[in-house]
Amino acid sequence: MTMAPPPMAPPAPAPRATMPGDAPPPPKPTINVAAKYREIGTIRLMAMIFMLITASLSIISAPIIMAATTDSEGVMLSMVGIGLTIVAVVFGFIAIINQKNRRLNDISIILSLSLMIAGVAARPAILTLGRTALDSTDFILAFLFSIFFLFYLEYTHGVRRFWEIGHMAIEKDLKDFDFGHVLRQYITMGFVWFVVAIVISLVIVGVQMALQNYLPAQLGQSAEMMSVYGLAVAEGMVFVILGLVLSFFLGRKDYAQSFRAGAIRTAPKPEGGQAEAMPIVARQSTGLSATAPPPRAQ
Amino acid sequence: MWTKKSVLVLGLGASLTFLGLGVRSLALMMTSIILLSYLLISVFLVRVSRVVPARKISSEKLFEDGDISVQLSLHNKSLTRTGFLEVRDKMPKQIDVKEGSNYLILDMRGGERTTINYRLVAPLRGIYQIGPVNLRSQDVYANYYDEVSVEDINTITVFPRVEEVKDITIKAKSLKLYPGATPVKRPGAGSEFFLVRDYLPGDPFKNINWKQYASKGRLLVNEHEVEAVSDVVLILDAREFSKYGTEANSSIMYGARAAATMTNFFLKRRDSVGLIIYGDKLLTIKQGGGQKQLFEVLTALSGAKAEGTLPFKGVVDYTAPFLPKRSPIMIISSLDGDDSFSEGVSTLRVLEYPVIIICPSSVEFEMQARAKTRQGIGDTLPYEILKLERDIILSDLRGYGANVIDWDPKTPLLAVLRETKRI
Repeated sequence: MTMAPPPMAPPAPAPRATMPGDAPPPPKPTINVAAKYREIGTIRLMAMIFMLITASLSIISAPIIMAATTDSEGVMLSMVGIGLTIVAVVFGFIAIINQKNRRLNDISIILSLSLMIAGVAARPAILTLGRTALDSTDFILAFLFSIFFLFYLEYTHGVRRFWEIGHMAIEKDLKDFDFGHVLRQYITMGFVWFVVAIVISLVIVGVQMALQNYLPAQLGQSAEMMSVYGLAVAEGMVFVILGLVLSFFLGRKDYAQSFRAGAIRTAPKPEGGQAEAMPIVARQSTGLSATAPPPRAQ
Repeated sequence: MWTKKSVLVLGLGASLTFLGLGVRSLALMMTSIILLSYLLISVFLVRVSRVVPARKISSEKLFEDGDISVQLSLHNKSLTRTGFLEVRDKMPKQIDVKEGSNYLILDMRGGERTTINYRLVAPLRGIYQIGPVNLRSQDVYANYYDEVSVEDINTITVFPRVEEVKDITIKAKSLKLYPGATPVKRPGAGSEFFLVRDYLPGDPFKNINWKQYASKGRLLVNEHEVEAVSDVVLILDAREFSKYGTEANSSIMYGARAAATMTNFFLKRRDSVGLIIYGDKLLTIKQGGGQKQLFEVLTALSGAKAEGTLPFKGVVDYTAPFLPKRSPIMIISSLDGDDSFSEGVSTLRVLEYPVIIICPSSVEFEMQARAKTRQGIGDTLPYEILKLERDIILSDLRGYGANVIDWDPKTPLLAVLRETKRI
């Protein structure tokens, strides 16, 4: 390394004077993330639409259930379910609209999702043993609810995720920071992969139907197999098998990587950090005498 | 790696299975199935990044408050897209981003190249590392991520700020034979007029003052003042006590700036400057002159860390045999936590070294730091006692014949150095 002369010293910065009578500092400009990144506005709108559809599906199923049940307890439970869903929508709006208060946003998302689930769970248990879970109306409503619930969850989180990045970009005045293509990719590819997730869910339903048909009639046509329990068995079968396969392949990959990493031997780094490293650099590459003993000792 | 979101979704999906079974709800069962399917899909959407970063920086050496530009090039060597890729160029907390950003989120196509440009400003001296580059690829839903840390590291040296000093009237009592810039109040070869004396046989004719001859009627010759090189040794206290205060306002930070400024001044005056830094170990730089010496001293000052408790007496005992005779010794120390300091100064004085001690007040640094906290300074009595103790040490050192400059951090460095004129 050649000995380069040090660069010119910059002039000492002038002290910041705040004299009496100085103009007050300009107010902080408000940051409008949705205006700068229009895709975030689109995601926010989609989150609201999906939330309303999810809530509507939850509420629509109530009259159907109420029609099927005659006891007052069932009607009351359905009314509680509708109430919980409405509260979930209120919290959902808070979660989607409020992005400034992070803690409130976290709480709102969790409350909204939990209440939406509670709203469905509060329905009277009408799917008694012996009645098939794959009744077409129930199935379609349940399936649509699950899809839109997933969309609602993902897009509510998406708004939050991208809003934070957009806010950071505007706050730090990052002119070259354009993640519009990332947002567009999220909107398009997000949908594509949702379709795949839906297909997998249908496969699980298909597994339940296959179990009903191919297992001995005593088991396949049993009340349990025809209801949600059959669906749970199918779900368990598919995910346990996939989990085992994934853990086998991913585990092998991790093991191989750790083995390779262990085989590489690198020179030990200086322990003392910068102060320790400095004299080594100075002696070896610049020829400086920073580590040399006092002059006459040589 | 799982994100917080994916863990929550997994928990929700698993609990919905049981809840769905419990309340026999088809909607909840379907929701649990779709949530788990969604998690399963995400596992396959994370791609191990094959992005190769390369960093270029405009300069590896700069002064405090100086800035450098960084260009981080990224090349996706894979044929497939990166997915959501977060790039973060790691940097120490002492460095600030002035323009642009060291962080980017992008989605690179196969074979694509891109560049991140940003400017850094380094307000504090030190030796810092920029890097490694952290690449985090996520699936589209941010359920999983895979992080790679690429060990592409640049080291930057931030020299302490050097201020322009007009005059410091410090010089050695015994000068070297080499010509320099310090007038030594002695007739000889030089450029400045010194005195007129009688002509002696052997004096060159060109030195005869003909005007004086015309008026006084006898031959007189002009004498010039000798200008010679002086040795100056700077000793910087870098013990752990020198970090009282905040990182930006501590005696080691102020001391390094003072040492850098004085080194620059003395070297411009063509003096020889040596440096001793002591803390957890002793670092010495042999006396020398020129730009190379300035570079060497500034590098050592940049790397000085407040560590260790080496006693000053030990430093003096070890280095005194090698110090240039009767050269001024300038010590920059807050004088904290070292009972042997007076003894060390006494030894130097016995060996006839002129000793100048610049003492940044650590009590003031600490009070400034405390004032910024929520509790404030609080009871000032302990600080008053500390100040009193410090004053006693200063007068003790003055008693040994050392010139002591008490440096209140509110006083600018130039004003402190101006006090050396009185010495």
